[in-house]
Amino acid sequence: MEVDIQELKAGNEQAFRQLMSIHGKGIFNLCLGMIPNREDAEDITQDVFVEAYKHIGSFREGAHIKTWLFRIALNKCYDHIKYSKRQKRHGIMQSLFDKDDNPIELPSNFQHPGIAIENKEHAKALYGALATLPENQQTAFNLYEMQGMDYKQIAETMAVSVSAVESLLSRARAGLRKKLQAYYTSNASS
Amino acid sequence: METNPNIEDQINRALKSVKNIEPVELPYGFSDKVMNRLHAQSNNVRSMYAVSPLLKVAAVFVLILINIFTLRLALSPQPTQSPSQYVTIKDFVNEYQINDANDELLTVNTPAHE
Repeated sequence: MEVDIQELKAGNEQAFRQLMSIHGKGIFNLCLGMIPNREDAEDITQDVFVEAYKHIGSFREGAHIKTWLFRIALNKCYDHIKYSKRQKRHGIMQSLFDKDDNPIELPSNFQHPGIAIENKEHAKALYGALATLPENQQTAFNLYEMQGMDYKQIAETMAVSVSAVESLLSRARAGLRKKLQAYYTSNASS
Repeated sequence: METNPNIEDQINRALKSVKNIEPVELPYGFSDKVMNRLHAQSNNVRSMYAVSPLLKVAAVFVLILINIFTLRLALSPQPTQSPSQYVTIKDFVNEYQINDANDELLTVNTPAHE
C-alpha cells in the first residue's frame, strides 16, 4: 500500500496521516537502532515527518518514499549523535587519539524497548562499540542486523553500491569484534 | 591472537543481542503529535505575516518622522552668538578693569624711571 504523492504534495492531511501510519513504525525502529532511547527516538521520528511534510515538494516522482524518509531519518540521527557528543565535551579529547584506541563508552540513557532484558547488558556493550565506528559502518550494520534489510535495499538507502555495503558490513563486524574483545578483556581482568 | 573462550562467547552474545530485536510500536497518538506540531508551526508563520504589515506601516511612519525632523533641523537658520555670551565677556572686562590696572601700573612705575 502506498500513499498518493500528488495528494501529499497538495498538502492533504489525510494522505500525510496515511504516510505516517505506513512508514512511522519503520522510521521509529530505525531511529531506535541508531539512538537506543525511546524518547529521543520518538522526537527524531517526529522531526523526520515534520521535515518530510515541509519538503515533500522536492521529492522526485518515481523515487521510493521509504528510501527518502529513511535518508532524512539517518541524517537526523547523525545530527543528534553529533549534538550529544558535543554536549559531552569529549570532542577535543577524542580527536587527539586514534579512533581504534577509543575505549567503549556504555550509553548512559540506554532504553531500547525492543531488546529482551537478558540481552540488555550485551546490547549496551554492542551499542557502546557501535558508537566508536564511522557513521557509514554504523548505518550499514543497523540496517542489516537490526532492520533486516538486504544488501540491495541498504545500497539504495545509503546511495552506495552493493559491494560497498558488503565492505562496510565486513569492516563494521571486524571493528565491533575488536572493540568488544578489548572491553570484555578489561572487564574480566578488573 | 587466541581469545579466551569465555570472552569469545561474550562477544558473540553481544553481536547476537540485536539480532532478535522486537519491532517497537509507535507511541500512542504519534500522528496527532506530529499534526499538532505542524499546525502550531503554520499558525506561528501565519501570525508572523499578520503582524508584518502593521510593522511595515509603523517603520515607514518612524522613517517619515525622522526625515521631517532632519529636514527641519537642516533648513532652520544657524543660531547667532547669544547675547548672554556677549554680556559675559563684557562683564569679565568690567570686573577686572584691565585698562585701569595698566594705567595704574604705568603711573606707579613712572617716578622710578625718573
